[in-house]
Amino acid sequence: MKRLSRLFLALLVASIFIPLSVNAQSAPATTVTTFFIEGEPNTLDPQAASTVDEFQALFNIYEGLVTYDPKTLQPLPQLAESWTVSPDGLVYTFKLRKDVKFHNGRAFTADDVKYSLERLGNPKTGTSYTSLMLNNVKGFSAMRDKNTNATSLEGVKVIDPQTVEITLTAPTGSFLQQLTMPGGFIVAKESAEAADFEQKPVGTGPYKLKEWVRQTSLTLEANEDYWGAAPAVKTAIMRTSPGASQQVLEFQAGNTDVAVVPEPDIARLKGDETLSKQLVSIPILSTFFLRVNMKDPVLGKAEVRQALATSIDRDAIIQTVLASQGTPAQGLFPPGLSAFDPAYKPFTRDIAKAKSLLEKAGYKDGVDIEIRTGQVETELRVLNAIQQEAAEAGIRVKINSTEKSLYDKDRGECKFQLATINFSQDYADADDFSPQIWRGSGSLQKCGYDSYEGADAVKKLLDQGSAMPLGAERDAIYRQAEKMAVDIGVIIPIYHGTRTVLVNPRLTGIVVDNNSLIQFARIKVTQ
Amino acid sequence: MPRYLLSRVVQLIPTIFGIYTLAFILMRVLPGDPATFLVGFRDDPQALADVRRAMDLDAPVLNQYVTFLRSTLQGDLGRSYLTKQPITVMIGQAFGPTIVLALSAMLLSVSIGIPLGILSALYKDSIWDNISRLISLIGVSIPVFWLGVQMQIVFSVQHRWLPISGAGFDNHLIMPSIALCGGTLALLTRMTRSVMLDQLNQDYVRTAKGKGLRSRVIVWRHAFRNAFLPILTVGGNSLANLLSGALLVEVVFSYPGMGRLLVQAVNTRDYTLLQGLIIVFALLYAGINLVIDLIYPLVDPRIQYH
Amino acid sequence: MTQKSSQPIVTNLAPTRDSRAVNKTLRRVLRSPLGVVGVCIVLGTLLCAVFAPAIAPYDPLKGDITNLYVKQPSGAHPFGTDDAGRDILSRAIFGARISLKIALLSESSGLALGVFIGLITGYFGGWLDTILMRIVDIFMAFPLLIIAIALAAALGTGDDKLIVALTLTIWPAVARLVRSQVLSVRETEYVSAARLIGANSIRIMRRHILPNILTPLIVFTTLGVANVILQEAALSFLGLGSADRNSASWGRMLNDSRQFLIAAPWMAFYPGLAILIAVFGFNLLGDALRDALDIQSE
Repeated sequence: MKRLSRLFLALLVASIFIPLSVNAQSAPATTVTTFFIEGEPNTLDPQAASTVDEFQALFNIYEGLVTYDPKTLQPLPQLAESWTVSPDGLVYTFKLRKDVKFHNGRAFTADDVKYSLERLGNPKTGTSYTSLMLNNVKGFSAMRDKNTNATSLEGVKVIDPQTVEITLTAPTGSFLQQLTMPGGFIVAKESAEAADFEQKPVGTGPYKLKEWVRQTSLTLEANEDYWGAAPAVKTAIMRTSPGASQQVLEFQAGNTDVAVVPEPDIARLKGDETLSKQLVSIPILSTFFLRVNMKDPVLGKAEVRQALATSIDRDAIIQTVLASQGTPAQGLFPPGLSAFDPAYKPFTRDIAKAKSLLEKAGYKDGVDIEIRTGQVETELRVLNAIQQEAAEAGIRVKINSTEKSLYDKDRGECKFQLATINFSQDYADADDFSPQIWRGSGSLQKCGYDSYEGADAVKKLLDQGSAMPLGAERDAIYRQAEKMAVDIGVIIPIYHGTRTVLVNPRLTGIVVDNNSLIQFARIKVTQ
Repeated sequence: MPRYLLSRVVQLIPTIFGIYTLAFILMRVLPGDPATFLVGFRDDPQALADVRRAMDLDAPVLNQYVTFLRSTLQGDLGRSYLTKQPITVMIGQAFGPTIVLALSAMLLSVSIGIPLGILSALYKDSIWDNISRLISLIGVSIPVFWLGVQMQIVFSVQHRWLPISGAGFDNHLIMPSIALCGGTLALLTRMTRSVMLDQLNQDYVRTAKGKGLRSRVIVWRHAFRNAFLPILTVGGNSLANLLSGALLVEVVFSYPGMGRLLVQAVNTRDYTLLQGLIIVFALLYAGINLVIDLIYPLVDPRIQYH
Repeated sequence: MTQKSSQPIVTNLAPTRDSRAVNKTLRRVLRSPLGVVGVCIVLGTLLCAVFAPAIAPYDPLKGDITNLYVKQPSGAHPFGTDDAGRDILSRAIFGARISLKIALLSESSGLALGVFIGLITGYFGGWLDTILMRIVDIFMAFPLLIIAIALAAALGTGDDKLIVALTLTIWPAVARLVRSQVLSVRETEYVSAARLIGANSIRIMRRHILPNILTPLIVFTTLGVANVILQEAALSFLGLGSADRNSASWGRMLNDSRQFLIAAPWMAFYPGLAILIAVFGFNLLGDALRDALDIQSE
């Protein structure tokens, strides 16, 4: 027995001290290690992808006809060298690159474009992005129809191996922006139909998948046959995120080149002489706002919504809770969109005004409201601040925070008074944001987003804007619609987000782009 | 013996069927489904319908139940709604780390708890006895996730001695196993103390003492050997509890085990994964208890199965 | 393992309750130093819970986020302030109220349900017994925490739902314990005698069976409260606890502190300490009670 217990002890000691140093090995300078933002990808199938971590991996492996500019997020040529648009805005003709090969060695042609878009349109592949991208493409509704069972997209035509023509049912100013989304990535038919496509991606991008150990890390290696310039980063390792605070610690320990920084850590890092220089703030195209149930007896009154919006001290929230990362939001569109109007400021804090608005609505002794939310810590803190600020105007806020799925479900059934939404762009255009102030279907319609006072006028403007070509005239129309809706508090905007990261100074160029993704091919490495 | 084994296994079948059904019902009662999770804030009914259709979630619930049951009986737990990977592969990958963590916590508990219990019994009511009771009571009272967090602050943040998260068969195991071992340590200490006290009061020990045998020999050769069986029982049971206790520790330390997978599956409403995990946990639980029962006659030849 | 726990812990208590026995038990508990500490902690926690508004220096729900956003411990706020600018000491004191409320409510309803089911299955037997015990088996085949997580998620978030989820994890063990006690008492002479003279079942259960199973139940419950406090904290930590963001439950406070491990370690330290002390107290008391009642039964 004694021997046995000694053996136990020996085993214990051994199990603790067996050195297995994965991180300690010195990697070559051309290897870059990062973390995923939230956790890790579920799938690497571009037509089924929907999380930021999936996009992070996919944007390095796959390419679409067009991509976005890392700063402005506007469309740039990628697999399409050039394109023309017919005068009526309905027909897009893309000229494709000739020298492109898939990772499996096969040359890329126009057939792959048609296959990929049809794969996206197929209800069996289905992602939440499909209808965002294909809604106006001719033949999409037939593909969706359970009765017709169409398997091809009528609007996508192969003219010759280097030319594709896409026909729309209605002019869509932001169609090219929409094509930058991962659902539009071009896949090779033979690999997409093979088993385990979701973990064995074959694209045309600058990196190939080398290894993916779930719950640990995903490794990419440079694609030697890449049509573009050879990337400086030869190997990219993306580790599963252990949580944001822990990314910072790993960065400090030298185990990663990039780390996402949560707000609570920012003050500490700013106080550190070296680390403060490695902090980078990236404005992201997002708006955090409160969605209103317009059919609620209390919040159906414009004065109550305006009173709440006027009682909030956005600057104070950003300074404390967000550690100065973010900008106050007054409207729906974030800075960075051309439709953003810097002069539009309907809700500066004014407690007296808020009180008089409440009184006008018939709530002289204050009013009780409930805000539903999930469990995102930053948002909860922002709500705590709102709660304290609104209390001064006599608005007693209760914060109901439940598990995300329950929150999503109740919100989807419009079971709330106010709900938090942190909306960040899918593609960089006002079009993507506008359903938040008018929508005639689903939960938003249940909440009265097609029947509030002035809703019809807003819809008319949005329809008009959506069909117009990009430019100042279109922006003016979106601004007008935004003003009409936000003035009466159809949404209560709080702030526009910023992503803060730590970046190893040996990496230069755009490391994290304004889409908060890392495209390794754009990074330069110095030693 | 084989007949006994067979009857034990047969007895398990209705329980496991019940567990399976309970798991299935629980999943369907959960608000939301994997599609709501994926679609998230988009609130687009078209998108939701698309994803539901792609996931086959629009099939009638009874059909889903029958399909799952049939494939489970064939040893196929299905594929995850989110990762599209076979559940058996996902659980297989998470199984090892959890077992390693549970075993290393077990080793810690045994190597501290049993000596502490013996000490307690030998010097009953002394200061040692009280100290060991105190240790074991604190062990059972401490919230494991809090202990984990406090250790992270001290050993990983303030001093960079130990890795804050992740897994490996190395110093990654130290903090998680310490955080995890408290309850088992307490149980083992208490159990060892009480059975040793029993044994030390037995006639044969008194006789042995009377014969002048050295007390070390008495304690180890005789008393402890007889006390081993109940300790083994408690230990075995604790191992099963450690597997689930590991859940909180795995969450705190981002340790890639089954517990963390379970929490993830609950959050994402990944039905198939959740069902698979529940079944595996239940089978493990039952399996460990079965093994303990089977080891009995090997340790104590007085017990025989008919 | 059931072999051990199905043995009646106390078999030869007189079938009537006696206030002297209670006094005796109490004296025994108070004679051991650890028992005294346990009683003190439990009383202290109860006092905190009952008189929280009088003891706490600040309102646990009202904060000043602009001026007191995560401030380290100081004279005015000895435990520091949290990420909503609230006083952590006051929240820890009010936490006793919420945590104890949840723990006591779920423990007592679990106990009631378990005793009821244990009594009828043990006393009447038959098919009802078979079915209910199968259900108990199913519940006992899982690790408790996993059932609690699944239940809490399925029922949705909220204090009342949390109590239901915890209750459902408590009753099976109680039912099993009570049933085994009933089985052993049922065959004793005085119960048989009572049956012979035609006493009805309810009367027999109340007068003869319940008092006999009281002792193990008291110990079981005291230790159970300790366990439920831990479970509640664990569920809150996992985000399955109270839905009210401002709720000052200890588990919620720990959950709030997760992003502040480095920036504000005090946010996690004090609520955890509060849990540790309260659970420790109930465990000490339970232990001392067990010893006291054991001795008494000899």
